[in-house]
Amino acid sequence: MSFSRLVTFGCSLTFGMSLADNYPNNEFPSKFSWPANLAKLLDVPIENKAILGSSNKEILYTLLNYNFKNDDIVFVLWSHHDRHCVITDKNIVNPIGIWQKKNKSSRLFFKQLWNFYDRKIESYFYYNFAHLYLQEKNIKHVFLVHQKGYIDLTLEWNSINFLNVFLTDIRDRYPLAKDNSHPGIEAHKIFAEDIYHKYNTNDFYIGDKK
Amino acid sequence: MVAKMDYNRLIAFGCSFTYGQYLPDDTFFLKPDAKSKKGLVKSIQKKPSKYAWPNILGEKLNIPVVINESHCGQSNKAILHDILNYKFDKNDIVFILWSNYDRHDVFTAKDHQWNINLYMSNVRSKVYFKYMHNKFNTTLENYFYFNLAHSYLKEKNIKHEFLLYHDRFLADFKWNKIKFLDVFFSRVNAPLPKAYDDLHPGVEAHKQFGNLIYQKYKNSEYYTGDIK
Repeated sequence: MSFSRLVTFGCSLTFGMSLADNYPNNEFPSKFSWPANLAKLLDVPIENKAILGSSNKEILYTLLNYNFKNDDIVFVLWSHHDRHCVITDKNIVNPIGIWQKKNKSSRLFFKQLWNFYDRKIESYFYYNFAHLYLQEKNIKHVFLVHQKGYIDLTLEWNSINFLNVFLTDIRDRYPLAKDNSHPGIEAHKIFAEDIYHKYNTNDFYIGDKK
Repeated sequence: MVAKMDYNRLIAFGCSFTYGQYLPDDTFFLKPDAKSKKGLVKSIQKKPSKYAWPNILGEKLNIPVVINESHCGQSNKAILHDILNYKFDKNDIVFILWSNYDRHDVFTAKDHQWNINLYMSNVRSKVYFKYMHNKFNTTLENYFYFNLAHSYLKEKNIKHEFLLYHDRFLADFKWNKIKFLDVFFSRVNAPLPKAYDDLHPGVEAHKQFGNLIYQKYKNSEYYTGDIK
């Protein structure tokens, strides 16, 4: 099937943080990011909706409020389970993450309300809601997590078969981005090629574990 | 009017308003005090009340088995978790009276969670309501839960109807797919005698609520499903 647009959602790993064209201000998604590379391979325009520092909750919220076209193809690289956010009615997203050590909400969240199992369950709620939402809209979509450890085969209600490619595995094999933390240009390129290869050779569909 | 199929089981999910807390068959008075009953009554019920609305509804619908899967004090997050982990049969019909927005749960295992409630004095509850809670965010999270439950049951072809206790819980998100049944327990409960704690709905309120759900179900084309 041919698609008119590649739409991607995710965090800094999808944004292409601190790559050659957007370092140090990171004001726009990088043309070296994996979505830009994947769009070239698929020969379609790219809409990279990734947001720096996003939690899975924010990714879901962004996805639900996006105006999709029928012939879009959507790739989501979900974020760290740890992260959370509080959203206000003015659409202000207050991120909660371990890097925000000066933020009292974040500190208290991790001290009082954080639990490994809970963060996983809530992420899987968001993955499955996004999947069923896109499925009902007949929007083709592929879901990825950035590390293998995030895949949980014990949740019987989970209906998502994540694509078996992990950016964390690739990142450390190549030079890092200019912030010396995020994946570098080569890692993004290889990741996009791996996704493309899986996409072309597998019954990749997101969907049901069948 | 839509054709109604025969169901073998009615499965109800919810909180104390579905459980029937403090109704006559399930309540134990710790220290009865005629002057100030409040605070002295203690619920020790081990199973949902036979007077609770799911039983009334099951009887009216002539469904042979009513399974009340509600738990007192549950948040909507925990109700969703219960739904996702429940083994449904194809001839089940599911009614969910979703809970209040003033509570939350943090799961620590499949069958264990930390309860967080606006009226609890523990540190977790205080932190949650001071730093994590605002009306929009809470409504948003609850609508995530409602919509996942709906899409999940719909995909499994399990007939389901969703209810809210109060119409102030209704919200307008463009991606919302749920049309709640237009029966709100708060309206039924307000003028009627309360349960033994002077707070929860009493026997008559449960009876009227069950009957009202039945009337809506019987007479309308309503399906909790997609907003057309």
